[in-house]
Amino acid sequence: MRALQVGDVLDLAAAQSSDAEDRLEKLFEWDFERTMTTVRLLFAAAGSLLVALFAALFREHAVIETWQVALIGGSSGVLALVGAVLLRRARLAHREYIAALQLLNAARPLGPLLARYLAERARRR
Amino acid sequence: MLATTAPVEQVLAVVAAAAGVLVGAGSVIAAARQAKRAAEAIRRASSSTPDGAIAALNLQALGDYVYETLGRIPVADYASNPSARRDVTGALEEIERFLDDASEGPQRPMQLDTEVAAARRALANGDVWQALARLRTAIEIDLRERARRNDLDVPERAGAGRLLRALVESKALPLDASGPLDYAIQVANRAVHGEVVPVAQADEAIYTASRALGVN
Repeated sequence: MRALQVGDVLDLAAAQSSDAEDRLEKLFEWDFERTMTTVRLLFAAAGSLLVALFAALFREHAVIETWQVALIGGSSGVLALVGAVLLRRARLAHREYIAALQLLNAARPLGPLLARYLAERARRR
Repeated sequence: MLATTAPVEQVLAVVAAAAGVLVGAGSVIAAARQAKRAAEAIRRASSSTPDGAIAALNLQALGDYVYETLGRIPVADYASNPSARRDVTGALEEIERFLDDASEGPQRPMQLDTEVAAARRALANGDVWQALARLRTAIEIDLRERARRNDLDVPERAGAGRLLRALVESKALPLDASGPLDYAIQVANRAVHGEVVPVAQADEAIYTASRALGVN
């Protein structure tokens, strides 16, 4: 999944549409939702592994090796850690959105020039 | 050992290991690649300026600089890295000043007739943007020289439009020259900003300006 780049915001400026801010907001909403879906999946997977591990540990007559406990517990930890990193990224989305809005405003005066460049580039290809 | 273990735990352990390793390794590799690409983009932006692309008066060079150098920086880094932010906004402001004809005059020595000839060549090649950008530069060269000859105090960042107004106000430019030059500057400014200017109008602007400047 490619991170949002300055070029994506410049594309919005080049589009010269009056609803560029709304489009930018949509872009961030999609990105946020996508990240949160991944976070939920990772936490759910980590939780499921832990639940299964505890169920196996406390089941009567069950024999489970230490390496298996470590493997399942470790994997659950890795999944949760990746989820936590993504969650932290999602929490910074607001700050990135504000910065992207400022960038969009700074790039607006160049909108027609960028549109002309993109049209010429498309024509050349 | 394994034989005494219930199969469900074995399967669970293997699945968990595979999931953990895949997600962990995948995330680390993706994050490392992304960080490397971002660092490269930031380094490229900080080690270059739009000056070269602006001086070349070439739309492709200018657009390539904006998209390939500035455009590759992730928004997350733009938001969190003050240096990257400064580089991007500084470059965009400099390009805007050029569009508004408020950047510093040409850094390299330029000849009026050479620039007009280059504008004509660019138009003949179908590059209206470059033709009119060069025409604007040619007019600026001439007007700056007239201002110098007339001891007019004009700012370094005064573009062709501002120079023209200053010369007209001080009566250092004949009226029959100011009208055509004003028209040519307006057409050139529209084109440089990205507006589509028909080839015929660009040709007309170059013709009228050449006559007013006394260039054959």
